[in-house]
Amino acid sequence: MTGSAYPVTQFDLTPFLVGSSLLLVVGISALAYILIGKSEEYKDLKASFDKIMRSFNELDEQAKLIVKTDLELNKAQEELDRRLTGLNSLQKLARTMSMTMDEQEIFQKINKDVATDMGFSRMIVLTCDPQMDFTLRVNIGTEPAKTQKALAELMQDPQFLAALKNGTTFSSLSSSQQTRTRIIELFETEHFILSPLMTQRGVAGILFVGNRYSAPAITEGDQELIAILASQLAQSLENSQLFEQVYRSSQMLETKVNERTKELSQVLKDVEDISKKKTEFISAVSHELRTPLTSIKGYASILMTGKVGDIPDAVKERLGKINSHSDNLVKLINDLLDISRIESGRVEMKVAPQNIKLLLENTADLLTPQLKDKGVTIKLNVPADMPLIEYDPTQVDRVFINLISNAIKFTPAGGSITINAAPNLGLGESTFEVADTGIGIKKEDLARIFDEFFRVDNDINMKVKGTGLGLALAKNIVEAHFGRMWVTSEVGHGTTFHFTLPFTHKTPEDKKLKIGDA
Amino acid sequence: MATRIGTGFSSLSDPVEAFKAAAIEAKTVLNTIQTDVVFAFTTAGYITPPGIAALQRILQPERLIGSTTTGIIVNDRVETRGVGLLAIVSDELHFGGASLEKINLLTAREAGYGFAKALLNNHKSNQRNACLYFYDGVRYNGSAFHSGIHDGLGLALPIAGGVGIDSPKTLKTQFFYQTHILENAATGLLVGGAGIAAVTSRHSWQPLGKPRIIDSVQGNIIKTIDKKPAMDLYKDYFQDAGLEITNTLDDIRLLYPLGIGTNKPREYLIRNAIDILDDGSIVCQGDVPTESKVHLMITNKDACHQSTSEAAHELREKMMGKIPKVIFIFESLIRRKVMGRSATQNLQVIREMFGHHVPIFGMYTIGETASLRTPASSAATQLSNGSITLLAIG
Repeated sequence: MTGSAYPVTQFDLTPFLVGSSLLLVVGISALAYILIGKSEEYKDLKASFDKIMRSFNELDEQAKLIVKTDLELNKAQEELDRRLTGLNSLQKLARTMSMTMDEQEIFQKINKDVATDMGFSRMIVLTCDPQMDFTLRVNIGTEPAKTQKALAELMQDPQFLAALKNGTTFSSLSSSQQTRTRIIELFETEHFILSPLMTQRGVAGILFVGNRYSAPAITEGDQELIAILASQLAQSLENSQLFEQVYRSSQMLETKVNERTKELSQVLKDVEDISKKKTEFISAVSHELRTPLTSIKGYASILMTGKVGDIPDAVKERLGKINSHSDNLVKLINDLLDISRIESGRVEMKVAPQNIKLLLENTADLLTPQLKDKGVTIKLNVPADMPLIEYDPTQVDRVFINLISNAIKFTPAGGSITINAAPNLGLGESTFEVADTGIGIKKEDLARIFDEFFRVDNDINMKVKGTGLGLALAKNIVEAHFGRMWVTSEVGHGTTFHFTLPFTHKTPEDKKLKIGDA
Repeated sequence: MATRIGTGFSSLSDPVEAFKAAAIEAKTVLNTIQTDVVFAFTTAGYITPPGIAALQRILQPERLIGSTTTGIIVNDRVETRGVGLLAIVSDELHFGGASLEKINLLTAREAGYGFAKALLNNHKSNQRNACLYFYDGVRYNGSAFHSGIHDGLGLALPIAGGVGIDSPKTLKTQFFYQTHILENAATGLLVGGAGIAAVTSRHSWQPLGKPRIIDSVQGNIIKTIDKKPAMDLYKDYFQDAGLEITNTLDDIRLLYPLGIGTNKPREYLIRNAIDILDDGSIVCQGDVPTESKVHLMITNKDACHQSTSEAAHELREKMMGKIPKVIFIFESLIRRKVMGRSATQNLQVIREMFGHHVPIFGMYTIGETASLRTPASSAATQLSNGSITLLAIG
C-alpha cells in the first residue's frame, strides 16, 4: 500500500484471523449442532405427524366400517318399522274385515291407504268360482283392463296354476325366472307377491301386490305378511258367504214358519170354531132333549103311581125301565151340558178357600156303600198341615167322585184305593193322586183316556154302562181351576190319576178368560 | 283477552273429506264461526282447490297458509299421510300473512327481503313477536333467503322456517296462501301482539372420520375438499362399502350429512348434499364458509331424543316461565328416518316439559331455518339440515 496520502497503521491480523477462524469453527459447530438438533426434532415431528396421519387414516377406516354397519342398522330398522306398520295395518284391516259380513264391504276396506301402509303401490284382488272364472274386486294402482289382460295371460303360466292348485304364495323372490319376467311385464311391477285366497272349498281368488321399479325390494317377511292377509281375506270372504247362506236360509225358514204359523192359526181357528159350534150344538141339543125327557120321565112316574088308572105289573116294570133309562139319559145330558158350559166359559165358579181333607172324607163317606158292595177299601193320606185351597167345592167334589167311582169300577174285590194329597209350597199348588189296584189301562188307550165319549174296550165296560164323559168332565173342571190332570197306569197293577190345584186362584177376570181356554 | 287454538287431523283418502274432517275437528275446540289464521300442512296429493274451499267454508279463516310435507306433527301424533290443521282465534295476537311467488327469479337475499316487506305490509300492528315461513328451497340458498328476511324484519325477531317437500324423490313442494296453490314460492306469517316468542334449534350429529378442508366454495356450492372434487368425500366412505353414489337425494347423503366446523370447538353447521354437479361439486341448501374443516356426520335415535330435550329446555328458559300458547316444530325428515317409530317419543319430551294442553303443530322438513340472535342469545342466524327447530308463541 505505498504512495498513500494517509498513514497506514500496521496491524498484525494473525490473532484476529485465528480468533475468527476459531469463532467460525465454533459457530459452524454450533450451527451444525443446532441443525443436527433441529433435524432430529424435525424427524421427531415428522414421525409424530406421520403417526397422527396414520391415526387419522385408521380413524377413517374405522369410520368406513361404522358407516357400513350404521347403514345396515338403518336398513334393518327401516325394514322393521315397515314391517310393524304393515302388521299394524294388517291387524286393523283384519279387525274391520272380521266385523263385516258383507262381501262388498270387505273389498271396500281394501283401499289405497291399506296398500300404502303395507308398503305397496299396487294391490289387486280377484275372486273366482269353481270354474276359475275370475271377477276383479280390488284394483289399486293399475287399470282394470290391464289387470284383466294380465290375468288372461297368467292363466297360461305353470307356476301360477300350480300356486292356485296348491294354495302356495310366491313372489319376485321365490318365483322362477320365466314367471317373474312374465309377471313383471304384465303388471308393470318390479317386485310382487301373489297369494291365492284359499277357502275350505278350494281356491276362491288371488291377492296380488306389487311395487314399481323405484321401490325397495320385497323381503321374505313381506311375503309372509301378504300370505297372512290373503288367509284373513279368504276367511272373511268365507264367513261372509256362510253368513249370506245362513241369512238366506233363515229368511226362507222364517217365511216358511210364518206361512205355516198362518196356516196353523187358521186351522186352530177352524178347530175352535168347530169346537164352539159343537159345544153350542151339544148344549142346544141337550137342552132340547132334556125338556121332552123330563116330560117323558114325569109321565112315566105318574103312570107308575096308578093315579091315572091301574096298570099291570108288566107295564109297571116297563115303566120302571123307562124311568131308569130316562135318569141315565138325564145324567148324560147334564154331564154334556156341564162340559159344554166349562168349555165355553159359561160356568159360574164359586171359589173360596176350602179344607180339602173334609171334602175327601165326605166323598169317601158318600161312596162307602159302593166300596162295601165291591169289597174294596179306601185310604186317605192327607197331611195334617195341608193348607187351605181355593176351589169350587161342588166342582172339585165331582172330580173326586168321578175318579173314585171309576177306581171302584175297575178294582176287583179285595183291592184298595188310595187318595194322596201333598202340598208343594215351592210351586204354590197341591198334588192329588187317586190310585187303585185295578186292572190298569193299556198304553195305547192312555192317550185317549180323557177324550169325550171314549171308553176303554174291556170286559168291565162291556158289562157296566157309562157315558164316557166322566174323565173328560173331571179334566175340564181341574183345568178350569188352573190345574193339570194326567194318568199313569200299568196293566194288571192299577191306575193312578194325578191332578194339581193351585193354592190360590187367579183374579175373577183371569179366571173367566182362562176357563174358556182351558 | 284470549287466544283459542284448535287442531285437527284426518287421513281420509279423499282430499276434500280429509280437509272437512280436520277442519271440523279443529272447529269443535274453537267454537267460533270465523278464525284469524289457519296453518295447514298436508302430505302429497291433498292440496286441491275443492279441499281448500271445504276448509275455507268450515273455518272461514282470515289468513290461510300452508305447505306440503312428508310428515305432519299434531300434538302427540306423527302422521305420514293426511291433512293437519291448526286454527287460531285471538283478540290479543295480530297476524300478517304474505306469499311471494317465482322466488327463483330473484337472488335469495332479495327474495327474502321482498318477502319480509310483504309480511310487514300485511301486518297492521307495530308489535312483532315472531315470524314463521315456508319456502321452496331444496336447491335454493336458504341462508341468503333467511338473511334477506332479517334485512327486512331486523335481527332480534325470532324467526323459524322450513322447507317441506312431498318426498325426497320428487323434491317438490306446494304451498297455499289464502285460496291459491303455489309452487316456487314462499309463504309465511308475522305474529304480533301481547306476549313473547322464542326459538331454539338443535342437531344431534357427531363427526365421523378424519377432518378434511373445504378449499373451494362458491356460496352454497362446495367445489373441492382436500384438493379433490367435493363428491369424492362420499366416494371415499361409501364406494369401498360397495354403495353407489347417485345423483338422486338418496339415503346415504341424507343419513350422513356434512358437518362444517365453526369457530367454536365441537360445533358444526350441518349441510345436506342436496345435489351433485357434473364436476363433483356438492350443492348445499345454505352457505358454506371456505377453508373450513368438514366431517362426515352421523347420529342415532338416542342422540336425536337428547337434542330435542336440550332444545325444549332452552325454549323453556327463553320463555321465562310463560307457558306457550302454541309450539311449532320444524324437524328434519332425516331425524324422523333415524328415529323411526320412536319419533312420537320425541314429542312426548316436549309435551311433558310444557304440559299436554299446549298444542303442538309442525312438519318434517329438509332444511330448517332458525334465527337464534335474540336478546337472550347471541348465536347467529342459521340454516341447518338434520335439526329440530322449536318456535314457541306465548
